[in-house]
Order: sequence, then structure tokens, then C-alpha cells
Amino acid sequence: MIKLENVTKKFDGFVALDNVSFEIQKGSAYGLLGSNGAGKSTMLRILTGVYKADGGTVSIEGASIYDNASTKQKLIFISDETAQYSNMTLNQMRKFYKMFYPNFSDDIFSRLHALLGLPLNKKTSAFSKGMKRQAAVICAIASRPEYLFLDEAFDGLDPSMRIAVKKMMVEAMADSEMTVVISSHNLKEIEEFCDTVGMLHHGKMIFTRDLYELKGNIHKIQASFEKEPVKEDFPELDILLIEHNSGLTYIIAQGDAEKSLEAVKAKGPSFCDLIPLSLEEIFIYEMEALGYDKNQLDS
Amino acid sequence: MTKTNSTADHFKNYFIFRLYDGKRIAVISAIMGLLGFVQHSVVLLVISCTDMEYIQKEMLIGFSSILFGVSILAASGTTVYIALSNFEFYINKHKTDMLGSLPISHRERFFADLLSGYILGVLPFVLVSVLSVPFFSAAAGRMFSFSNLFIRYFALVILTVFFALTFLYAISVLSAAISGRIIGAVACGAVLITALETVIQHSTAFFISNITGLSGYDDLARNASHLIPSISRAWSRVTALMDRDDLYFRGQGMTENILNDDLEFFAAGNIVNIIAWVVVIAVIICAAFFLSKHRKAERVGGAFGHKYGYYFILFIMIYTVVIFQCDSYSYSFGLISSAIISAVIFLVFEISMRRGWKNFFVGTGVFAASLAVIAGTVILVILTGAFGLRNKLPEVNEISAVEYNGYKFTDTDDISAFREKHLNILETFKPTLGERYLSTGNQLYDGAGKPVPDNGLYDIKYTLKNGDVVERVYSVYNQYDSEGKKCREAMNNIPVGLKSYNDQVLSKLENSNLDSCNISFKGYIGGRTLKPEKITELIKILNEEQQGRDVGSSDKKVGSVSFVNSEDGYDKDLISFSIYESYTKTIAFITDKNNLMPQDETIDYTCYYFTIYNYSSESGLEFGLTIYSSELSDPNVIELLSLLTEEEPENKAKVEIICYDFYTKLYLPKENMKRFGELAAEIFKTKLEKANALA
Repeated sequence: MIKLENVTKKFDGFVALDNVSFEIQKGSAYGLLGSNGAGKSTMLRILTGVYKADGGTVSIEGASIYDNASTKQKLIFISDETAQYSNMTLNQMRKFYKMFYPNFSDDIFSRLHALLGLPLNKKTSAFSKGMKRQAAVICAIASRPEYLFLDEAFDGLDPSMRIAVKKMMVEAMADSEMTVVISSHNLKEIEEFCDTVGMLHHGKMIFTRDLYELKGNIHKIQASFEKEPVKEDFPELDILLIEHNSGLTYIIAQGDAEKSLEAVKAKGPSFCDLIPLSLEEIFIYEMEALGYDKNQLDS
Repeated sequence: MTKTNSTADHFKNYFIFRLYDGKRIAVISAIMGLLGFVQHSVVLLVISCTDMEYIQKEMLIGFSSILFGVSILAASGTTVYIALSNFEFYINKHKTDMLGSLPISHRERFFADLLSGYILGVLPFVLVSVLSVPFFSAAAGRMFSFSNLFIRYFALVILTVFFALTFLYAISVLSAAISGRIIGAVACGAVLITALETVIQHSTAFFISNITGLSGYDDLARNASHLIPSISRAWSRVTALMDRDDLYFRGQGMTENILNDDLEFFAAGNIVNIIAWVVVIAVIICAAFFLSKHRKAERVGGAFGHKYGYYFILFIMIYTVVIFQCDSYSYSFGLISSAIISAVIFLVFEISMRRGWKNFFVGTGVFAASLAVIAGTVILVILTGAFGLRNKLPEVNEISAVEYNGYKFTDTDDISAFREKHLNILETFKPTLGERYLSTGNQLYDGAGKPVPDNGLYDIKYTLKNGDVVERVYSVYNQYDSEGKKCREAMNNIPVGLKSYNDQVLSKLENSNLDSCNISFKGYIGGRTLKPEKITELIKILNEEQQGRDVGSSDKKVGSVSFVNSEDGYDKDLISFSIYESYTKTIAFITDKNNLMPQDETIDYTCYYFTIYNYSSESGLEFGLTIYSSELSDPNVIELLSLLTEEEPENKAKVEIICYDFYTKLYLPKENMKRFGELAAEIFKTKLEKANALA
């Protein structure tokens, strides 16, 4: 388990992380969400021991991470930077990872390499950004770490490669109970891959929640009324938002979906239906419920 | 369950990765070693084994020397490159995430980077260079009868280069630990090397010796500079192995002298110095480790790895410039010029670092404050005479004797009067920001690193009753302005009215193992040598005349005699005495040809030449008239040379005559100028005719 308690990080007076606390369960796929500059990369660098937290504690399975080689042995960090491998070939990268990670599996490497078809003996400086990212992910998965950290994991990958890389990671997780922590500002990617999500905003962890629980707890009801209702018309519902558009009323509410639907139907709409919410919508409504302005979140 | 490596494995894995990653550097370093010492030695061996023309040999050695020089520079470049490349974690933002998250502790990474870089960048060059020793030994054995001396010299050059590269590597590592970007690391390295190479010597010289005249500190400053495995000194030793001054083609004696001079210079680099070099390098590495351990990974990409690193480097830079300028020039010029120079360097720093306007303004404030503190301290030291140290002389009742430029005073009244005069001069000519008069900054040293006698130094030794010696050595910094002349006169006149007891000094010489006595006198170009059997007689005559001499009379100095004590076939000691106009018996003795070694036995004129430079139109000469050895039989040349003197006359003509093979500067007294012009014009005309005939 990864545990952060009151973690703070400052850069020359700028507070990048402000008293952040959360936990990541072993074997989970954790999505770290946030806009640009929210502190996602800083968080990952602290989690992987690149940066030292200015305050608070960070641990993996109870052991500190910074300057602790034994703990770092269990993790691999693939940052959004791809120039770091430029003077290596994929084969050299394989040797490099094999040197540091005794669990490295040549079989997995060969299988993944065959799947993606990257050249083995060509300098990665000649690779495209997506190819470099694939090469790094292949090596990371083949190293069979207990914890894999990916910063903007799917950045630069074309759709087919995204699917391939995700598949590789899911298989690795299934095989070895690997914990994956992915940062992204792309909610769709996180929705497809993660089971837990955390939202960072201006260095603060706004919430961290199980995605299924999050999705199950918030729902959207579409209905048509003769007279547009207001929030007060549904006192039994925990309504986050009520909107009207083109004669239709949209109600975003928390709680049991079926009960909410029944409550709306009881008001006699000509039409009423429960429609699925995207993660993006859930976040927006959740954040608004927490008092954050939607427009502010986009910045 | 993750398999884990032990700590040793972490280190080993990373170390192997680094070696593997930088293997090309090792190859380049080894190639540089081949192109350097090995290539040069092989060329020398080929030359020694073949019967080629002198001009071909010279061309071949010239080309080989260029390759040699380039290889040393390239090896230095490789050393810096591998250091910055291995410690890229601190200066290359692209590598921070990958290297920072690897399963290796900070300490393991530092030492793996350090050792692997050293093994890749420095050792191949040095190890390959060592391979050159057999080639060089073979070549030296064929070329010189004193091949052991040459081989020893060659080995010492390799050793010096080895330490210089190690030093350069350590400084580069420290620079990477301090900096956040490559450009910062390079700038930081340049400042640190310059500072370390100059500050030690100039700080000591400036703060102690220059201001106070305290003796021994000048030597201390010079010796202190030997404590650094100086890169510039290593380079100068390497250039000595190139074809410097026809090193390989000169007569044996001359080459032997050059090597001996340099080896004497190396003497400062004995085992004590080597230990000091190791300690200095170790301290730099420890500093680099400490700084890297306490720096934050996120500082990479910024100007400096530590918040105050830039200001530290800035301070060192300003200090170096101020001390160097103030030690080398007059204080006012030193202070003004150092402010300008350091401001320019500061602006270059700021522009190249692109630290932003806010940081620029903060940096400007720090720069101004640092400059003010350093300049203020310097001014305070100047105006207070190093906080009173300058005027601190022993009390009269503590002193048993005073020695001053060949005189010795033991009478209490003389000692008291001498001390009083000494203090008066210190008070009258105390340093001001506008000018300085007394300093020891102009001390000259010969090739063996010994102070050159008779170079205008004023050496005062107070021997105390408890046996201790308190010494002050001064030179008049600005001899030719009116105050400088007054200062010089005052220094010369200290002994006036006091009783001289020089005999004790000379008596000591009578019992010494003196091998030779060199005489510098009017018309003795390059000096003359006294017959060994006449040395004791000369000492007696000199003793008599010195005892009876009226100290401080208007006597003119007309020459000098130097007694040489050569124990191991090399000059170990040199004691010089001035000859004054009133020393009639001494002058008669040293001008009696029967007492002198025949000229052709002492100086081989066949290989000497003189060049006369004209600095004014007064003598009617054109620039650069060279008199060759073949012309020394010309009566006009003989007369012309007899007009010259090695002693600098009070009134000299603006003509400079350099005898190259003695590295001696000769002077033309103004009263001889007219005749010199006539003769030179005649010689010059003859030379022109010869040249025309040849054409």
C-alpha cells in the first residue's frame, strides 16, 4: 500500500503540493487527475523518490521511498520525458532495466516487443515520441515491478497503440498484482483503466474515491415536464444540479439511482429516463458540489 | 514478491551501467594518450635512430608537438565532459526522473558516477601515457648523455598531468554539484579553477607580504600555489617537453640547465606536495558529495543547484578579481579595474543564466554588496597597514643585531637609530589608495625558484636575543615617480651614519666550500668568472674595503660579485655583494685579467647574439639590430659592447639590449649614448652592405 500523510512540496515559495494525504491500495489502478500545473507530476516524483517532500511522510508498504534503494527496487517510474533514453537502443534499454530489476522477464519483453514490433537495435533517438513511450512501457512491464508509475501514460500514442499498451498493463496487473498509478488530465483514459481516482487541484487533493462507487453514487435523470421544476420540488432527493434545455430537464443527484428515478416519475413527467454519466461529468458535478467553480477547474 | 538486490548490487549494477554507457569516452581518452605522450616519444625515438637533416627533425618535432598539445587539451576536454556527463542527474533535466527513480541510494549513485567517470575519462589517458616511458627512455638514451635526468623529467611531467586531470575532474564534479545547468557548471568550473589557482598565492601576497613587508610570506605564497595540482603549471611542463627553445637540439649543457631548472621547480612538487594534492582533491570531492547530498533534485534546470550557490560563486569571482588586480597594480587602479571587470563578468553570468528580472535585481544587490564588502576589507587592510602589522617591529631591547643588504649592525645605538629610521620610512611612505611605495610584489625569481639577488630589494633582518629572526623585505613599487625616488633614496640611506660590520658575513664565506665567483662589472657582458684560487683573496680585499666604507656616501654601485656554493654540481647557494666606486682595491682585483678565467673558457661566444631595440630616435638606430657572434671580432662591436652595463644606471638611454642566451638585459648609460649611436650606425651600415651583397 502507498500512503501519503500531510505531504507538502514547495518550489522557491510556490506551493506545489499542499498538505496532501491519501492511500493507494495494493493491486489497484489509481488515476491521478488534474489540470496542467495541478501537481500531478510533482506527486509522482515524490512517490517514486525523485523528489523529497518538504513536509509529511510518504511510504510504500510502510517503508520510506526517498533515498531508499530497497523500496525503489519495487517501483518503476515512466515520466512524460522521453529524451532520457535517446542514446540507447531498445536492446540496451532491456539490459539497463534487467540490471536494476532482478524480476525482469525476457519472455515478457520478447512477447511485448513482438506485439509492438519496435526495432531492437536502433537508437531510440530515431523513434517517434509514441514509439519511445512504447519502448519505456515494454521495459517497465517486463521488469515486473510491484508498483508502476506513469506520468501522462498515453500521451503521444495513437488509438491502436493506446489499446495495446492498456492491454499490456491490464495483463501485467492480472499476472502479478501490480499496482499502477497513472497521472493524466484525460478523464476518458483514466475512466477506461482505473478503479480508483484522485483529483489534484492547485496542489490540493480534492478527493480520492473508488471509481465504481463514484459512478454508482451519482446519476443523471432526463425528464420532460409541462412546467419546469425547481430543486425544491424534489425535497427527498440530494440534487447536485438541475438544468433545463430545449424543453428537457436534467437532474443530477446523489444516492440510489432507482429511488431517484421513482421520485422524479412521481411528479408526472411526460418522459423520464436514467442516462449514463461520463467520468468528466461526474467530476464536474462532484467538484461543483464541493464548492469549486467549473470554470476555475478548467484553468 | 519482488526479488531484491543488496546494497553492493545496487552500486555494482549502476557502476557497470555507467562504464558501459561511457565506454566510447574511455576509447577517446586512450587515443588521446596515444597521440600525446606515446606519439611524441615514438617520434623522438625515430629521430634519434635516423640520420635525417636537422630541418627535417625540427619540422617533425614541431608537428609532433602540435599533436601532443592538442591531445592534452582534448584529454582535458574529455575529463570535463565525462564528469558533467556522469553527473548529469544534477544538470540535465531530461535525465532526472530516470536516474532519480532507480533503485540506488544517493551515496551509491554519487560514488558510482565518480569512480566510473574517473576510470573512463582520466585513467585511460594516463595509463596509455605511461606506455610512452620505454620509448622516451630509448630516445633519450640515444640523444643525451644525461638520459636519466631527461627520463626523470618526463616521468614527472606525466605525474603532473595525471594530478592536473584528476584535479580538473574533481572541480568539474563539484561544479556539477553546485550547478543546475551545463552552462552554469562550465562557468562555475572556470571560476573555481581560476580562483584556486590565483587566490591562494595572491591573497597571501596581498594581505600579508605586500602590505607589511613580512618576509617569508612571499615564498609561502609561491609554495602555497604548489599545493594545488595546477592545470596551468602542468600545461607549462608539457610545453617544456615540446620543442621549447630547441630543447632537443641545443648543446647538452644548455638542455641540462633547462631540465635542472624545471626539476628544481618540481622540487616544490615533492612528496609533501603530492600529499597536499591528494588532500586538495579529496576535499573537493567531499565538498561535491556534501553539496550533492543536500541539493534538491528539482533544482536541475535552474541556474544553480543550491539557492546560495550562485552567490557563493559570485563572491569568489569578485574576490579573485579584486585580489588579483590589487596585488598586480596600484591599489586605486586595482580597485576600479576589478569593479569594472567583475561587473562585466556578473552581467555575462546573468545574461547566460537567464534567471529572470526579479533574480537579476536580487543578484545585482548581492553583487554590489559583495563588491562593497570585499573592496571595503581591502581598503581597510591597506589603510591600516594590515591592522598595524606593517609597523610592528621588535623593540630595541629585544634586538641583538640588524642586517641590511649586506651590512650588519650590533651596536645598540645603531640598532635603535636603524629601527627609528625604518619606522619613519614606514610612516612616511605608508600605502594610500592612490599609490603604494613599499611592497614585496616585485620579487623576482630565477628558474630554480630562488629570489634573484640585487633586484632592488631592501631586506631587513632583526636578529633577536632569543635567536629568532624578524625579517622585512621591501621593494619600491613605483620607482620612477618623485615619491618613489624619495622612497628609494630613504631606503638606501638607512645605514647612513651607522657602523657596518659586514666582515662577519664575509668571514663565513671564507670557510665555505665556494666553487666559483661570478663578476658583474662594466663591460663584462654576460659576466666573468674569477679563477677559483683567487676567491679567498677577493673575499679578504672585499672585507677590508667594506669595513672601512663610509656607509651611505654618494658612492655609485658599479658592479657585483656573486659567490657560488655548488655542492652537487648545481647552484645551491648564491651570495652577492655590491661593488661601489670607492672599492678601488676590489675593482683593481676584478679587472686584473690574471685573476679572471680566460674569456673563451667561460663563455662560448660562438652561439650568442645580441639584439638591440631602439625605443627612441635619439641614438639614430632602427628597430631590431642584431649582432651575431661572428661579428664579435669587429672592433666597432667590441667597443659598442663595452659601452653597455648590466647594472641599471641612474641615467639610461632608451635603448634596450637583450643578450638572448643569457636572458640578460643590458643598459646603455646616457653619457655613452652618443658614441653608441655612432658605432651602431656604422655597424648597421656594414650589416646592410653585407645583406645587399648576399642578396
